[in-house]
Parts: sequence; C-alpha cells; structure tokens
Amino acid sequence: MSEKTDVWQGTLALMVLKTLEALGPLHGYGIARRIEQTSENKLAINYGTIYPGLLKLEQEGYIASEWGVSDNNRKAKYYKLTRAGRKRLAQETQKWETTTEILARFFAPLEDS
Amino acid sequence: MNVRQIRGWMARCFGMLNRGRREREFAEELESHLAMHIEDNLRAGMSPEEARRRALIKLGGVTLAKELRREQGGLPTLETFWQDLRFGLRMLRKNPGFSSIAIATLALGIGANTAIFTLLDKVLLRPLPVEQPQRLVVIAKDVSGAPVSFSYPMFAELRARSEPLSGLAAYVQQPFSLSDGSQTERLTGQIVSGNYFAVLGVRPALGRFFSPDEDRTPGTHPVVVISHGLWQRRFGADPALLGKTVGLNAYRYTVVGVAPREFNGTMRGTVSDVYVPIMMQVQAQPGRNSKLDDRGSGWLYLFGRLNPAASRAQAQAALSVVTSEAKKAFPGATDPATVFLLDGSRGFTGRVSDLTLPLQLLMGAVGFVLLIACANVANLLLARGAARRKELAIRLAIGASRLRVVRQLLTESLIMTALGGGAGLFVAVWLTRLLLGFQEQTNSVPRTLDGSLDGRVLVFTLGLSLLTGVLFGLAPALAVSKPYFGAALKESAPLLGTGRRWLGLRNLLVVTQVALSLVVLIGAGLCVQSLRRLQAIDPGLEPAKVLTASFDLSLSGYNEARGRQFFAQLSERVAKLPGVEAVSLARGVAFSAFSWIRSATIEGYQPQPNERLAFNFNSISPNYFQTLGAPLVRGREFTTQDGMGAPRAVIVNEAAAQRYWPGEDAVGKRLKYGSLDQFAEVVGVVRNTREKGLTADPRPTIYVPLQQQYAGDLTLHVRTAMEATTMLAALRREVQALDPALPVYNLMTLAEQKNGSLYAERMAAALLTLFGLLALLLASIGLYGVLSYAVTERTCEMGIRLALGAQPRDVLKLVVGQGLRLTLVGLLLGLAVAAALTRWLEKLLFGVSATDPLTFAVIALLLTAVAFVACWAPARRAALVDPLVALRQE
Repeated sequence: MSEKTDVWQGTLALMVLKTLEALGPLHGYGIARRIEQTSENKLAINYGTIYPGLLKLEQEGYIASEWGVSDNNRKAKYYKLTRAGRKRLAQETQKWETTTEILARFFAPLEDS
Repeated sequence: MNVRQIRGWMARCFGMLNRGRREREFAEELESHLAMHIEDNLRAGMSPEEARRRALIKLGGVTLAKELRREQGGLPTLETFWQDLRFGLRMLRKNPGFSSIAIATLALGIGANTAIFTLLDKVLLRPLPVEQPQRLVVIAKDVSGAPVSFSYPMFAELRARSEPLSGLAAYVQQPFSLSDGSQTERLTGQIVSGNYFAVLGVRPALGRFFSPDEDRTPGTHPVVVISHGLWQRRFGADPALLGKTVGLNAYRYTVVGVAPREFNGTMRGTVSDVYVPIMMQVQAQPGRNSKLDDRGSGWLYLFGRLNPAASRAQAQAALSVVTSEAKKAFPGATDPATVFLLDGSRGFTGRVSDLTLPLQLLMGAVGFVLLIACANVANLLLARGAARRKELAIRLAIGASRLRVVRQLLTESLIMTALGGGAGLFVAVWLTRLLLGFQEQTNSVPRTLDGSLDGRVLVFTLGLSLLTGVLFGLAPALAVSKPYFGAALKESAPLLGTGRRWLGLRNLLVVTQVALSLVVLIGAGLCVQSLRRLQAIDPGLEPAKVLTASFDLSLSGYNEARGRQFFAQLSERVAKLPGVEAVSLARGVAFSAFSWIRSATIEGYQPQPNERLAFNFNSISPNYFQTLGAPLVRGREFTTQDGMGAPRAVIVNEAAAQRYWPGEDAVGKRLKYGSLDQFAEVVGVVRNTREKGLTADPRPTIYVPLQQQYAGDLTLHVRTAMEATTMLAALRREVQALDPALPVYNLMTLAEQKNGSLYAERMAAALLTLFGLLALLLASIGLYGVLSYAVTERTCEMGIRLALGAQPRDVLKLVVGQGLRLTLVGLLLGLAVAAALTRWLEKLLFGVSATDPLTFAVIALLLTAVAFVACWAPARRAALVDPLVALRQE
C-alpha cells in the first residue's frame, strides 16, 4: 500500500479545474477517476466528496454543467470550464509555481559560496 | 470577499428554493455515476455483486454523498434555524397554557421596562438634539448643579472673555401670548442671546436663525424663531409664514425661521415654542424695565460650548476670574463671584430634578419585575425540559450533537421571548398612556412627553428580550441536554437523581422570586404610606372648594388702567354666577411653582449682621382668605377701602408674626417693603398655609392689597360648592365675554393643583404598587409551577404514603409545608435586601421610616398569604391522589 494523503478542498478544486482543462467536458465519475489515476493512486478520495466541490465551483461560476451522453451511451452530467475557470486556473497555476519555486530554494541543499 | 464568492453565496441562497427538483437531479447524477463505475469494475473482471459493492464503498455511501451535497447546495445554518423555528412554534401551539403564561409573563416584564425606560430616557437620559452635546457646559452655582442667573452686563463680559469656550449663550424662559388673527394662546418661549442656536449647533428646519445685527441694538429687530411643533399645529406647516408677522405679547414680530422638529429648547421638561432675541427684552416682557444695563437683576441662564482643546476645569477657572473681578468692581451686583461648569449635554435639568429619584426607583422596580418574569420563564422551561427529557435523550442517543439540541431549545426560548417582547410593546404603549395620564393632571411637570416610543426604545426592548431569551434559555437547555440517556430512557427515572438537581435550581429561582417581589412590594408599601401622610397634611386652606383661572393681561397689551377695569368687571360678573360663594384675585396660585420673594424692613426690628429679611409675597384682592377658607387669627381682610390713595396695608401670616413680634399683637405694627418710602401697617394675621410645599415649614409671608400693588398676571379664585367642570366652563365663558382673545390657563381646582405638586410621589406610589402586585402575581405563578411540578414528580411517592396510611391532610401539609418553606427562605432574604435597599427611598418618604417595621411585617404577611393560596391547589391535587392509580403509573 502506498502512502495516501487526504485531499483538502482548495487543492481538489484546482485539480478539478486542471482535469477539465486537460480532458475537456467530463462527468463527475470521470473527474474523480482521473484525479486518482494522475496521482498514481497516492490520493485516495471518496468519490462522493467530489460532488460538493463541483457544486461549489459551479456556484461560483468557474465551471458549468449540462446533461450529455457518455461514450457508452449513458446519460451523464458533464462539467466544463468557463472563461472565469480558465482565468482562475491560470492564476492559481502561476501562484503555485511561484510558491513551489520559493520553497524549493529553501529545501535545496546549501551551496558553498 | 470577492465577486465569485458572493456569487457562490447567492447561488446557495437560491439553492434553498425548489430543492426537491435539485435533489432528484443529483440522485440521477449519482445513479449514472454508479452505473459507470460498476461497468468499469465489471470490465476489470469483478463479479456483479463485488462490482457494485466496490463502487458504493468508493463513493462513500449514497446518503452521505447526498448529505454533503445538500450542505453545499444551501445554507445549512439558516435551514436548521428555520427547522428549529417551525418546530418551536409547533411546540408552543401544542402547549397553549404553558406558552401563554410564559409569553404574558415576559410581555408584562418587558413592557413595564420599556415604558419606564421611555420615560427615563425622555425626561433624563437623552442628550439634547444638538451637535456634539458632550461639549456643552451649563453654568451653575455649585457642583450640585443648582441654577444661577446672571445680569446681562455680566453675560456680555463673560461672553467676550471666555477663551476656553467657543461660544457662550444666554436664555430665560418667558410666557408668551401669541395672537394671530382672532385666536390668542398662551405659550412658553425663551428670550435668547443672538448666538443661542449657533452655540448649540442647531440648524433651522426652515429659514434662518438670528443674525449678529439682531443681537446688537435694543428693540430694533422684532424677529422670532418658532418651534417646529407650533409651525405645524398653528400655521399648518406653511412655508410662506417666513417673513410674515405674528403678535407676541402685544408686539409684532417677523417670523424668520423654524427650529428643527426634535428641538424643544434648553430647559429640560418644557417645550419652548418661540424664541426671541435678547434685545427685544422690554417688548417681550411688557411692564418690566430694560434689564440690559442693570447689574442688579440676574435673569439669564448661561451655557457654553467648550473649545475642542479646552477642558471644563480650564473654562471654569477662566470664567471665575471674570466673575470675581466683576464682584470686586460692582459689590452690589447680584452676579455670583464664582461659577461652576457642569456637563450640559442634557440641557438644564432643574425642572426635572424632582423626577430623577422616582424614575430611578421605578427603573429598579421594573428591573426586578423583569428578573422575576425571567425566573418564571426559566422555571417553565425547566419544567417543560423535564417533561421532554425522554424526547431529548432519544435525540442524543441517535446521534444529535449536544450543540444541536441546545440550539433547538434556545431557538424555542428565543421564539417565546420574541413573542413576549412583541406583546410587551403593547403593554409599554398602554403603560406610557397611563403615565401620561399622571402628567395631564398637573401643570408643573415635564411637557415633553408625547407617548411615542422611539427607535432607541424599540432597540432596548428587542435587546432585552433577546438577552432574556439567551440567558434564561441557556441554563435550562444545558441542564436538560446533559447526556445521561441511560437514566432518562428508563421508565421510572423521574423519582430520584437528576430530577432532584433540577428541582434545586427551580427552588432557587422561586426563592429569588419571592425575595425580589417582597422588595418591590415593600417599596410600594412605603411609598403609599408616605403619600397618604402627605395627603393628610392640613394645608391650612380648603383646596377642594376653590377653582382657579389664570390670565396675564400684561402679555395681551393691557395697561394698568384697563387692567384694573377688567379685573373689577370680571370679579363682579363671576360673583353673580349661581353657586359662587366668594371671589378673589391673587398673583400667586397655591401649590404652583409661583414664587415671589422680596425683602422688607420691620419697624423696630434690628436684623443680625448677616440677616436678610426675605419674605414670600403675594398680591391679593379683598375676600382672598374667605375664598380659600384660610381663617384670619387676628385683624381683618383687605377691603375695597385699601385702595390706591389709602394708607398702605399688609396682612402677615403667623410665621411672620411670631418671628418678628413674638408675644405681641402684630396688628398695628408697621413694615416697609420693596421700594416703598412709607411704612405699611399690618391689618391682619392669617393662619399659616402650606401652599409652598406640604412638607416645608411655612415661611414668613406678606400679603399686600392688589389695589396698592397692581399686577397684570393674576389668578381668579372662586369658592363654590358646585361641581368643578360646570363652574370652570362658566368661568371661561365669563372671561371670554369680556375679552375673547385672552388666553386662560390653570383652569382647575386647587385640589388638582395640590395633587400636581405631589406628582412625583403619586407616580411613585401608584406605579410601585402596580409593579409590586405584578411581581407578587408572577412570583405566585412561579411558586405554583414549582409545586405542581414537584407534585407530579412525586405522585408515586404520595400514592405510597397514602397507601401506607397517611391521611390526605398529612399529604396536604407536606406539600404546603414545602411551598411555605421556600416562601420563608425567600421572605428572609427579601427582608434583608429590602432593609438594605429602602434607604435609597428615604428622600422620597415623608413621615415613614425607610425600614418601617409595620410596613415590612404587613407586606411579609400579605406575601405569605398569597403564597399559601398558590400552594393550596397543587397540595390538594397531591392529597387527592388515588394510591392505586399512582402506583400503577410506575
């Protein structure tokens, strides 16, 4: 068993946005599955917890949803990024990169000057 | 919070609407989610059961998923509150008896508090409606705030030389007779310095206030500012009034402005309707000399505004320098040598100072009533909580958090207090009307009350009810929600253990109630006793038989000759009315605020070095003492012979006679008063009257004949055995027949006048009695409730006792004894508290000690008797328990 981490809401939201950017419109199950796969099963999420997160993003207008038909011809609700969602994702990505960059410098082994 | 978050919250708000459709949609979404997952699992080679099981586990449960989403979809806090609210209302409806008692109790407590607070706020607390009232200072004689008046020259000097003040203004109250067209009415107004409004920082509702020019030269600028109330009432809020003229004290003034609606002048307790500049003093005070150059007459009250940088002490020192210099330069001037600056944010409070103590007292009393009411509600909540123990235990057992249960119980008590607060507003309105009733019977008390409840008071009430709800709902809620479901779920739990503890709390509440109501009742008892003694004082005249009607001819343009003629005609006409026994005129009205004090010299009396011979004065026409029913002890009354050309005559009272001619006959002795150059002879001695205050020792008084000392402001005194209202109407008709435009006031009996002088005492006695009885009622409800509950809890025990041979009488004794024990503890506590507290009452009491043992004993007995009655019903119920039924219950 690999070490598994809990997922906190903000990060989950970010992952959802990124997933939708990468894969285009997708249903809740697909998103949950994809997040788990991307983390190479290091992240164990209860799929149920993805829905409040999706709802919150939708309420805030970062994603939109509509009913569609899946590959297997099954009715499913599809979520897609809105313009606001793309913008936020870009911002968050930027922020994340800056943060990790700074932290990386701190954790890097000290170099002799 | 950014735009997106706001959008999110709004979506959640809307999410509470058509929730059913949203939830169905989500159920569908979940279904498709599971189907896809199961399909995937099947593809991965699982058996159908396994595939489904795994999918469900991974989802974390359908119900939980739905629950999580529901929380995100709406506003759970609000929704829970809404649920609690509906549940609470349902509970209230299910127990109408409980609910109505609790709500009524709170309504009475909160209503009484609101009404008294309204009064207190209006009369005493509220600052003047001016800019930064906290920067205002009033100039007083001493630290107690005793008012002191200044001459105009002194004021002018102070105004010019008071650097720490950004402004110093002066005013004096003045009655005005306003004539406009045919109607004439008597108003109260103020003569004010030109900077009066500027110092206050008031802006006109219409037009302007006084200009510097209008404050410079005497008599040249007849301008007036009127109150908003007068503008609306008399002039129909007509904006075209500006620039028009109105008659004031028989002189024409141009209206230049209207004061703001909420502004009533600087004299607390009165409403000023007109303001005229100080330079118009001679015209505004007909018959008086100009006082603008006179250092010998102090008539102006001063207030100022502190500079932002200055302190009150600095300003006081600066002003005192000026006054002490002036005192040295003009030793004969009446102005004080030192002054004190006091907080002026509430204006001049001299007229309402009599009310301060009674109002504070009443506030204390209603505070106690509210505490008792709250104790009652807490008691009722505890009792009901006990009855609901099982329900709550089940809730706790199946996973409700304690917080959730407490929240629900709190919501219920909040509903109750909110309803109580709402009903309390009605009680407050009613009680305020009652208070206004007291006010209308007198002319010597605040006129600023109008019976309206304002926003501040509303907030006060609301806050009070919420506080009550939280405070007195929390304790029972915490007590009841303790997780001891094991015990509570058992059928026979109530007998021992936890029940006892609640009972302890409830007993404590009842004891407190008894103690508090005893305190209020004793206060009431003392005030009633004191009032009875006050009313039993013989004032030395017969107030019930005398009617009065006042008018001020000098304000209506009469000169002395016309005035004398008017008075002669009026007296003659009134004397002819059927039922009139005697008629007389006088300047002063007994028991009114009228005060006329002058000095006099007595022939042959050598005053002590520092002794100033000051007398109360009154100008009276013939038959005055006969009219009032005050017998002369020596000599005669004035007659028509004591006219202008005749030798000067005076009548003195016994107090003067004994003081200055002890052991001698005062009749025939001589004295000089005012600016007379000849001596006046004492022609009669009259019994002392207590018309200047029932409790004050009669002061030496000199009566002078009206014929020899004309005044335009007089009061007709009529002695009659007839019913007052008919006679008063007849009096008004007679005055109007002679001069329809002359305003008449003080149309009342002297008895009413006397009652008016006891306003504060009567209000205190009546309201304390009302609140005392209310407290008693509430406390007995509390006692009854506790005993009823105890009896219900102990039904089984009673059954056993009866089954084992106890007589119903024994059970009766047991229960009544329990109730009386609680009462007794409360009584002892209450007596101690009362003894400690009633000394605050001392100043208000007359002829009764604040710890009057009789009052204490009688009230304690009364309370015991009422408590006994309250115990009787539950005790009887206990005594009539059928042992078989009782035992089968368990």
